[in-house]
Amino acid sequence: MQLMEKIRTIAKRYDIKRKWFRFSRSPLSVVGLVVVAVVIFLALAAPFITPYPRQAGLQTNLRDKFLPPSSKNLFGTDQLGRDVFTRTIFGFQYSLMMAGVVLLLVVPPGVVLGLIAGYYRGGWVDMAIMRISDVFIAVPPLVLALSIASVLTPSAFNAMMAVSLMWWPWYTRLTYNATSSVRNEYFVQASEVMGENSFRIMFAEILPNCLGSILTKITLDVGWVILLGSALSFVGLGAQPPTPDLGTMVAGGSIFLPGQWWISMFPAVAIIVVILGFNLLGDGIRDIFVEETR
Amino acid sequence: MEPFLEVKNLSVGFKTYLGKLNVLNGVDFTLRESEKVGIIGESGCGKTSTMKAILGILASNAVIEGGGISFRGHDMLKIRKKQLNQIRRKNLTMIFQDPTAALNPVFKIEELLGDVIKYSGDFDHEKATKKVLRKKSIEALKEVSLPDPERVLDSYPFQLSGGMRQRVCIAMSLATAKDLLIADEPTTSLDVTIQDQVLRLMKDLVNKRNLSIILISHALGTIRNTVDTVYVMYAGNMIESSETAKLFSNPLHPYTQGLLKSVPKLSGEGFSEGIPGRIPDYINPPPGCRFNPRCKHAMEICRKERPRLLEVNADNHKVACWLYNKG
Amino acid sequence: MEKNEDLLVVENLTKHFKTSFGVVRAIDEINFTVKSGETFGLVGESGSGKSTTGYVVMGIYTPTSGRILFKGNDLSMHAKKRPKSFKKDLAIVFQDPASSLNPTKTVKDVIGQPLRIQGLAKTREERDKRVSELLDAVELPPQDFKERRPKDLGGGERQAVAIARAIATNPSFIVLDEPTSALDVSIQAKIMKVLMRLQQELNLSYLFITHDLSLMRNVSSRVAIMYLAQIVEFAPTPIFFRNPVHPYTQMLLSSIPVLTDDEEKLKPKEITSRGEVPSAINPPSGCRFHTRCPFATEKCKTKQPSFVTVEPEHQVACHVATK
Repeated sequence: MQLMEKIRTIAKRYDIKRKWFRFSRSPLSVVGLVVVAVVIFLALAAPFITPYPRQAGLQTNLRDKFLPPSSKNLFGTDQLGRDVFTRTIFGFQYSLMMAGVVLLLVVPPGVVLGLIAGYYRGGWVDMAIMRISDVFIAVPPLVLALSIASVLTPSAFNAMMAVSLMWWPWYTRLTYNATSSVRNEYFVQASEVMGENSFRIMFAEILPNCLGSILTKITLDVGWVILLGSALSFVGLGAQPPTPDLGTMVAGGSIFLPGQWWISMFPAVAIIVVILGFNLLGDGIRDIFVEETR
Repeated sequence: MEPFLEVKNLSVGFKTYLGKLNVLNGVDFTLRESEKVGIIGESGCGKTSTMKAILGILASNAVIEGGGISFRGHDMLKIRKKQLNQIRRKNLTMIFQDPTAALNPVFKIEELLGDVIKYSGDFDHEKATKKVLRKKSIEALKEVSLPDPERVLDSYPFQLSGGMRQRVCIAMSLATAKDLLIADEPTTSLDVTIQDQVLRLMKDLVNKRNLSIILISHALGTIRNTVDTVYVMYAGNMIESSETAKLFSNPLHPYTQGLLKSVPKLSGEGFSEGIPGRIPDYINPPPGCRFNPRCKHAMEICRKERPRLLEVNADNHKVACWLYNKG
Repeated sequence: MEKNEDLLVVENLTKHFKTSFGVVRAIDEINFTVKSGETFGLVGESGSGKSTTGYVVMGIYTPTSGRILFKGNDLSMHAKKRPKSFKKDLAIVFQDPASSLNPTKTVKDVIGQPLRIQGLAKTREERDKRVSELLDAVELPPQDFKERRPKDLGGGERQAVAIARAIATNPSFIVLDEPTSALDVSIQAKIMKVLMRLQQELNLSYLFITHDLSLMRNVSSRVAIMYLAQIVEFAPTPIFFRNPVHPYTQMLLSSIPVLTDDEEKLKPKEITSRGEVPSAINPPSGCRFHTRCPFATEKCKTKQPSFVTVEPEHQVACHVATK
């Protein structure tokens, strides 16, 4: 049928079969892929598959507070009687959204700056871009994020801004290194000699050859951004209650340990699962792009 | 006499995402003690894979489909790891094509060479002090004609030239090889004048120590000047073997003939057409003789049955070709 | 351009690179000419500067001093500063087929790139047609190869694609930097035949760079030998091989591995090569070859030899051989 043909052509153009083979050689990568797929599905379907969707928002149920896990509340209820299971699933939604926004803000400028610095390596452009990014990299991530977030009013938005501001240089550095090594390959020289304009060389010749490391990093970073965001929320600098942010939930439930352990434990496990899933997936993606021996 | 090294009907495949590559297709190969043998073949013919099979260093996706390798009576395919290591330590060793990749760049030559000598089994390695090892290392470097061995020992690999690095690799392998040296394109990455020097050196050392050597190369001239017996390999099979001079003056297999014609001559006769076609697809190799699609003498039987490597005219010149092996 | 007119003139060309180890003197005042329709061979080992020469001619590097004249025009600058019309007249084929093609592009894109840049085929159909023509010219069936990627091609096929890309804009001059060194012997023969045929059909001039003298013997009309950034001997090919004068040339020729006894007889008396190639950062004084030369005299250590004509069109820079 038409659709099958189309899929086949796309698969051939992007060499999907070879990529899948390399990816699936490690069973853990497949596990990561499955976990990520499940998390994404849950995040997207959250409003439809959770039993008490409004308890992810402002609704409370004080009559049913501190209930242990049961068939009615799979993960129990928290101090305001809200279903922990529902809030955890919405927590996935929130975390992925945050990671998505941060990476969307960080990756394009970071990569472009790295491309330019790497292409004009040795010139003042290189120096300017790389020294500025060095300044940001020199400060430990959590310290920088905390400093920024504490200066601004605590909110989800400001937490994302703080994380973005210290995240971009890593992409610049990664792309800079990848660009520097590709830049001296013969095919780039050939393009220059032919008279290709620099812009096209950077984006159409060099960038596709850097995609492997960039994609790998993006996947691994989802986990890190979520972790960082949760850390900020945990200390109260990120999402504010009643937002169902996993870090906030862990923090909020920590005072009730160990008695009502379920309030903190399930969100904590959820954080671990998400990060682990993306890490395993990232390893798999890296395997796809490992250089073939000639 | 028990054969020194015998590869019998060896078939090896490699699993890939496209399917199984049936590379080695019944390789037959023998080596006697103190014999100098060369293997000629173009890229992808399986010569390196054969050597890796002998040394037990095939990739993890390799599948031994059949045949056997015996070295001094040991079954190299079924041997236990401990014994294999002992053989690798005492009897056989390999020199690779790229000396830069073969030397760990973060160690000085002193450490690299000293390590090899320490565990070579020549003496009790418990008693090996740094001074003793250094003395032995210098001797080893002098044997490969490296000028200023003291300075070489104190250098890192990147501080040495390609020729010097390869000589260090040769010194390292001679420290352990008592029986057999396998050299895989040892001089291909070197300049012509240095190639000459290094090959002469290898020849001298091999003669002096009575080693056997398997020299692999696609550079026909290199082979001609260095070994006594030559095997020609194509698409996973040994298709011709004979004494060196005879092979070059009277090649029998159509592939060998085509190959020799392709080499540009110093007498300036221009270029031949090369050999039409390309090497076979190992996933679906042609039945019978794997060279048949490219051979202008191909007959019906060539497409059906694989010819074995058999002697022609009782002068130790063997060919695997239906033109010569009539039944 | 008339056949045998001077197409490329290289005058006193020098190229030095500043590195953290010192100044690498890659090329030091070399002079040569390539005539229209001929193949000029540049021979040398690693460190001789032969590849660098090709790159400077193409504009990949800017000369440190000296001039490059192409069809009478001064092209002594980096490719980026050269007028667009000249970019389509010169092309290069690199030594390593694996890295001379962008692994993420299809063959069609690779060959189509110069067409697009020079505006030679405006519509997609025109480009497609031209790409197919070019693939035919290098004996690769277009239907099979157009959509493939470099990683699925063998070395010989990749080089054929690189050659197709080089002739795409109908250049008059191509620099061939060791085009077959990385290829198997039987494929080398095929590619060389393609190059020779294209030269005839398209009236191309080649600057052929290699270290393989047997190859050079069959391909070039004139040869220059480079050692450590300088040219040491020049001659038309048959004369050169019949009567090599410079000790380095003799050393090179005597170390070529040949396959037949007939060829052995054609080689000069054996000069065993000695020592390592000196560094290009601190080249030896006087004649740069004196450290390895079995005939070196005191004069060789101090004074640089200048070219002496030993027979018509045959020039050598050596004190001892041209006494």
